[in-house]
Amino acid sequence: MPPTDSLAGVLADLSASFEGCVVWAVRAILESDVNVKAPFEAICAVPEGSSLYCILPTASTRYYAQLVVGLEESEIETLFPGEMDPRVRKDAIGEMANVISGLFVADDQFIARFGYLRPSTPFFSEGAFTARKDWGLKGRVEANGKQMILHFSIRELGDAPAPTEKSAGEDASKREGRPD
Amino acid sequence: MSKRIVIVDDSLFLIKQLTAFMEVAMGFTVVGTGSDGNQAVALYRQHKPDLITLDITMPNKDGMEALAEILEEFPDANIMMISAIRGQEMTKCIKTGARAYMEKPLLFNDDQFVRDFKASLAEVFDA
Repeated sequence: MPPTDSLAGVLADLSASFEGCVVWAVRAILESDVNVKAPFEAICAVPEGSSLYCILPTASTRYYAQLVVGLEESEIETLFPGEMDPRVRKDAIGEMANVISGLFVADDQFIARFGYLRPSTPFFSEGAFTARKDWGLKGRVEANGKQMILHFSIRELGDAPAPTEKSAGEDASKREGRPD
Repeated sequence: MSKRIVIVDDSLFLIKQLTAFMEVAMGFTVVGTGSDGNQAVALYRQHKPDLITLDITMPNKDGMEALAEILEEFPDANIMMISAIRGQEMTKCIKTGARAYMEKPLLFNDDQFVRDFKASLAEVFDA
């Protein structure tokens, strides 16, 4: 089914670009082959389904966006087989988010719709992660035999309302029962 | 005598990667590393290195502020920005006085990237 509002439509149009940024950046940082296990699609959802989240906010005066990289903390060592220092391994996930976000928000089509958003510094959340349900792009990739969820969401600041149940419901119901 | 470099980035991963490349492949000596703009300014004052690299997005004081502050005190400072941010920030940095701007990720296993990186370094020191 096609997305139900204009923001979702714009995001759907950007999904191929986002996927390209993700695959290129993950390959560059991990120096590994990357396979897309769940295609990137526009979805209204909260990031979930992982034990560790790397969150990278990006904002302008009009929009707030965040990229969330979700993964299993116990699998980071396998993702970076050549790196012995666990602090550096975890930090590399932040660098990966940094590069993905930097590439995506510099996309001509993204800038034409949302303007220039400035990335901030990444931070990590283990276990529970609270976020509001916003429209975004979500997909899953595999590298070095381990999977990561990539979820870029965006919302308009100020008086703009959160997505309505009507616009969000279709994707929310689609998500139910589907493991991420 | 080898050139002395200070590397400032809030990413340990980047510092480790760049330190290895600059020391092993380029023959530089890393005399200091830091993780925010305040440390960048302090490290520059302390070491007055031949080159300092600055990330842009860092906690406490970002790379743009550190760039301006270092140049105000040391107008001849050789500063290379290394950031994942593309576009207008690059132009701002160069206008402010950065000698070079490299985009992350640093692909030191890519021959073309290494050639570009070395060319940027050469421009810094030939300027």
